[in-house]
This record gives sequence, C-alpha cells and structure tokens, in this order.
Amino acid sequence: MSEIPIIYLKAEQSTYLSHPDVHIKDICSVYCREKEVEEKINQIEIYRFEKNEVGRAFLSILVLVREISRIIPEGEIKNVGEKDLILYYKNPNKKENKWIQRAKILGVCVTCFLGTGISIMGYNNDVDMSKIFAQLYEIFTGTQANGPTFIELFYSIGLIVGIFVFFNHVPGKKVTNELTPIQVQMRLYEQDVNQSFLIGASRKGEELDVDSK
Amino acid sequence: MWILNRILLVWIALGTGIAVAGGFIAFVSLIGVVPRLAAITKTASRIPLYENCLAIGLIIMNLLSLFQPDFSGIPWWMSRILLNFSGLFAGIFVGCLAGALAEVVNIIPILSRRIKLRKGFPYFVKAVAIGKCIGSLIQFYLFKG
Repeated sequence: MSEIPIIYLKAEQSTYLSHPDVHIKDICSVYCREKEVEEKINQIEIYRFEKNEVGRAFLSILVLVREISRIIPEGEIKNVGEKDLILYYKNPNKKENKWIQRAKILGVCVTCFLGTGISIMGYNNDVDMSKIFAQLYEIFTGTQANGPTFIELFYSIGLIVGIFVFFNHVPGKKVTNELTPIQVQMRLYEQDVNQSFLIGASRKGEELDVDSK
Repeated sequence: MWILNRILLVWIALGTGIAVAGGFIAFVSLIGVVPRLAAITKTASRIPLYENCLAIGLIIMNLLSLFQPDFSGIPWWMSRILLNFSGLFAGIFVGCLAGALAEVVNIIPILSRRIKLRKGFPYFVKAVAIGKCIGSLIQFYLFKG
C-alpha cells in the first residue's frame, strides 16, 4: 500500500443531469486501481444547482482535481478526457406538455415538407428543367413534346432514388445502421454550441475554476 | 433504333434525377437548418422523421412542378388556405436557409472584425430579417413583370 495511487479521470464535454446535486460519478468516469479510493472519489459532491432552475454550469477539470486532492492528498491524478465541462440541469418534474411537443414536431415536419418542396420547384424553374427535357426529347425522338413526357417521370424516379440513397432510409424503415447525414450534422452542431458556450463562459469568468472567486 | 433512343433518354433522366437529388439534399442537410430547428424544439430524436418529410416534400412538389396537374376543381377557400399555409411555411424554411447560408460564409463575424465592432449582434440579425422581408415585399408587389 506504499505505492502512490494513480487516479484516471475521463469526463464528457457535456452532461445532462436530472438531479440538482452533482457528484463526480455523474459527470466523469474515474478509474483507480484501489477500489475504495475510486468509491470515495465518486461520492465527492462537486456542484449544486437550484432545485427549480433550468440551468447550466461550466466547470474546469481543475476543480475536480482540487476536490479530489483534498480527500486523497497523496494521489496522482491523470486526466484523459475533456478539460472544460458543461453541466446542464433540468428538473425532471417540470416536463413539457406532450401536446406542445407534438405541435412543435408537426411544425418542423410541415416546414421541412413545404420548404424543400417549394425549393425544388424553384430550382426546376430556375434551371428551366422542363425546357431541357423538351429539348432532349426533340433531339432523341424527332417529335416535339407538348407538355411533360416520360423523361420527367424518370427524372422524378431518379430524384427519389437519390434522396433515399443519400438519407440512408426510406419512410418507416432503416436501410443501414449508420447515422443519417442530418444526425451527424446535429452532433457537430451540438459540439459547436458547447464549444462556444465554454469560450464565452471563460471570457466572462463564469467558469468555475480553481482561480476564480 | 427507336428503342435505343428511348433507353438512352430514360438513362439520362434517371441520372439527372439522382444527381440533382444528391446535390439538393446535401445542400439542405449540410447547411444545418434541420439540426437547428430540432435543437430549438428539443426534438433531436425525431430527425429521421424530419428527413422523411424533406424527402416526401421534395418528391411531391417536384411532381407538381413538372406535371402541373389541374387542381382547379377544389373549393376556392380551401385552395386559399392551402396556398397561404404553404407560403408561410416555405417562407420559414427559406428564411432559415438564407440565414444559414449567410452564417456559413461568415459574413457578419468577418465584417464586425474588420470594422472592430463587438456589440450589436442582436440588432444585425433583426436588421437582416427586416431587410429580407421588405426586399421580398418590394420585389413581389412593386416590380412589374
């Protein structure tokens, strides 16, 4: 037992919490060869939200280091995760109304539906798709096309194929297990938001750090 | 020869469709309108549903614009409601698209850095929105032809 215990910390950049008192085990995974040390660290309380607020807090990993070294002064701490953390807290009892949620979903659906729909109409008009198809029809068949021909139909079929290949799923069924492009975009967006929050917080001095106060 | 021509035409049309769909959808999804809408409404878990809506909207409206079917049989009040409704939501979407486009190319951050302006970002956004609104009103109602 004379050996110095090495404590490894790995925290996620952002954590969503549903209870106001934050312990280290909620925001960070801890590994130490000695299990009782690990247990002790996991129980350290690091932050406390107001019970009813919907809030976020910014933490530097150094706060965790300080709290841990208070309890285990002889330990050596190695951080292998993020250096700045965001905690989001929302009281689980204050759930949003189910119908408001559904209305929002419906709103986004309608916006997506009509939005892309009218955008593709604009695109077809802009590049004069019908005219291009009529010209092609005339070149290949020698007869003038009056109104839409079968080319438009196959263009539309191609459109369908292209969309579902790109999105990787057809309505009601997943084609593969990969994330869809917009889900990937969502993760990137989330990361950007977290990063911007953290930069803003440390500039304004809102981040809880060892040198603050 | 006749059949060969038709096959070639069908091939061209299919290829065009796939290319246009890929480009169009890539544009819409990479510019990040849907993630933002999902973030605002806190419904990120429904993104596959939103993607289906994008896809179906694209398909149906494409058919409408190419084949221009005759819907003049439906009652006038219903067509008014449908048209105004689609106008509103298409406006929301295009507004998001325009905002996202301006953001992707970093106009406001770069401009404000060049002229060393640190404050007033909320006003810029409002100014952009009002400008777009007035601009499109002028275009639609005052420009003739």
